[in-house]
Amino acid sequence: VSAVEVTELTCRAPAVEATLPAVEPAPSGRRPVVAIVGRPNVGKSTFLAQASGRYAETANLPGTTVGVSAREIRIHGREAMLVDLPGIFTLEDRSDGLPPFWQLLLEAHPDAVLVIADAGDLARHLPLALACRDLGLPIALAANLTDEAAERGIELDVGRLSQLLGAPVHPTVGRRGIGVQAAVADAVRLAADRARGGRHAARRAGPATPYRPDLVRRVAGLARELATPAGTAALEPALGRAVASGLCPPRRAATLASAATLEPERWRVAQRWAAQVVRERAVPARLADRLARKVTSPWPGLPLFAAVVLGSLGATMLIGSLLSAVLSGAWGALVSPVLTSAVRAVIPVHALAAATLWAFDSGLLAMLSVGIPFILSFYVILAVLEDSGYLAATAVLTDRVFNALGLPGRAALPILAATGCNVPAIYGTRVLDSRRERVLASFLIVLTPCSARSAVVIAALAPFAGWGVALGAFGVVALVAVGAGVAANALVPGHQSPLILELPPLRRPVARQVAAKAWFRFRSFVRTATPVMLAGSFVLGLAYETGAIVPLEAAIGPTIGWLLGLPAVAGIALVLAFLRKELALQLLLVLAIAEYGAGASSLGAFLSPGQLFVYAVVTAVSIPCAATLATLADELGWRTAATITAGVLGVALVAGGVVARVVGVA
Amino acid sequence: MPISEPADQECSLADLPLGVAATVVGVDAAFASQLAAHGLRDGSPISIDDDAPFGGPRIVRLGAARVALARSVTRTVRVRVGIAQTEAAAEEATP
Repeated sequence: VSAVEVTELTCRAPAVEATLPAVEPAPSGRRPVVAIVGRPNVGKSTFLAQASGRYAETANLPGTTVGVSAREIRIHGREAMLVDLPGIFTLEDRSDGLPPFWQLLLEAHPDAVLVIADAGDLARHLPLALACRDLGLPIALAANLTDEAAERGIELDVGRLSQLLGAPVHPTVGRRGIGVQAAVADAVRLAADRARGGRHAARRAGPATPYRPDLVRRVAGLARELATPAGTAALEPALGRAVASGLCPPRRAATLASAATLEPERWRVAQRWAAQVVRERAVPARLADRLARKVTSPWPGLPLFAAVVLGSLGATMLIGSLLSAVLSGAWGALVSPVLTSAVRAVIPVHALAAATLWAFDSGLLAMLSVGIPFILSFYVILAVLEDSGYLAATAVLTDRVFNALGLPGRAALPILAATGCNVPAIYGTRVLDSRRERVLASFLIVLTPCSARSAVVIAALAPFAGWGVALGAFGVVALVAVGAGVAANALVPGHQSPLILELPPLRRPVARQVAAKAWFRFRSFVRTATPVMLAGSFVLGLAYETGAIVPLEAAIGPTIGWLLGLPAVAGIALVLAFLRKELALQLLLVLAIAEYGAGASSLGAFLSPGQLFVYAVVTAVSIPCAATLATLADELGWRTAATITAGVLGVALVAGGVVARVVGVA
Repeated sequence: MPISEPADQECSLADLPLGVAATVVGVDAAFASQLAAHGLRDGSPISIDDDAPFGGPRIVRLGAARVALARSVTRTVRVRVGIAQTEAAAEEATP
């Protein structure tokens, strides 16, 4: 699916959260399974949260495991499994590297399907319900968002729709829980009936087909053909395998194979039915709808976009620095002294104790002072922008500009967020469709100096070379990033698919959903980054404390000197900055004092302004920090993470080399 | 197909002026299935809501929905100015 809506692409699914766990035998031998299917932006996740009282994200994101999660519910004394599937447009949709949607659906072995449709846009939502019904599964329909529909002057004849569809229809308002329990209970009842009555009961009682007789005959003919061993040869491979494994009986396979002819017919039927059941009266446009038009138009859309971006970044930085100061203050006052004395008491070897402190004192503090304040607060803001539908508007506004870098407009927000911290920005690339886009965006994000790296540039240059030079360094870094982005777009195989994006209506985000989404993502970050941070800190600490770093200095010294015109200590500081960017300067000073004595306590004492400029540029661009590397690996795999790291390091060294020659220090 | 307005004004969706009601009369194969999934098919009523800045996507109205389409995508869609009578309405009219 190249154009799944932004809001549906919220986050990677928890890798098969529960793979239909073995359950104690129900009367039929297993719990009835209800699959939830719907187009993106229909309020499915809100609906699910109401139905099961628990939040979980699902999305069909590239490069991750199949986005299916199941959860047990108990409703009206019945136990059932709700299977949560990504939002889709047709059963044939597929994301990068994932099987087609129908396969995900059928592999969950549903006994019934609960289709969530937009009551205000029935003609475009019914085809999916028909497609599910054509699979031979009993369906129930939740005509969701009836509140929004009513505000648009749209009312449904639910009884008539139910009659036409041959299925129970429930008007629902997911975010307020209205009708949700009834819809789920009905779907569970259908599923239980089918699970009890065997696989064939439901089909016998199935509704009459609304399709043209010649189409029906054609599908039936194909089904007969597929029942013969030779018949499946012409099917696409995935469908052929599904028939062979029994996942798709011939009739179901024939329906799926005839999608190209059945889909237009489904849309015709949907339009006809919608005309029969929808009653529309003229009402003034809703404020949200009028606003939705405004935010995507050049005026006032563009100024608003600038305000939202600056506001988001400002809020993240403000809340982040405030919390960061409080947390590191508390850590320094309460935890650090206790930890230090405890570690020194337990571990008698000095170097080992010191390295352990690098890990558990500095490492955990880094997690605490970066992770919670900056990342969690950014996630909250991102979730608000996503759930409100505004993120899609930014995608439209900036699409053309980002196309030059091989990226869709949606990449704007993560890349801008990278100026705060790279880690949440990389998670933010989940709003992108393809793996190619995510890799390119991640590369740009790592090239973007985060606030810690920006601080190094300012602190290194402003006092010794002036503010103008500091700004100049940022200019150089921006040029390097754009140049590298254009080059990467040309080098990475594949093309960017042009934008086809259904714009979600603007909605007021639900606080509980926002909090749950932000917390869910934050947990994932903590799990990934903490071990890397601890291990990385320990290894670097050990190297530093035992003096193992000296041979390294000897090894990289000549290269750093020749390429960048910098003393060897500066090279070591750059390597160690891998742990924490904001320490790049402190580390440089510590190392310089160790090397040159107390006279080197000021940067200006042993580095010329030109050398400082080179050092600042390389630091701003160079390798990702440990937390960023861990995030890259978590999101894109270690190979891609290593490639991006190597690419960024290469860009930093080349840029540093060029700058060093231009300013005349090498 | 009965048309309520003069039928000879056919153009690419890329050239359809803002706010003018039109009907889809042809979609190139390149994006046909993706567009069809959004409800952009032969006979669909369509209009342009807005244009994004810097030659960005066109925002297309399809029934209740708004879909942003890159310019290159809009060039693959042919439209005819005027609203075709919908099939449902046509069927209701014929006893």
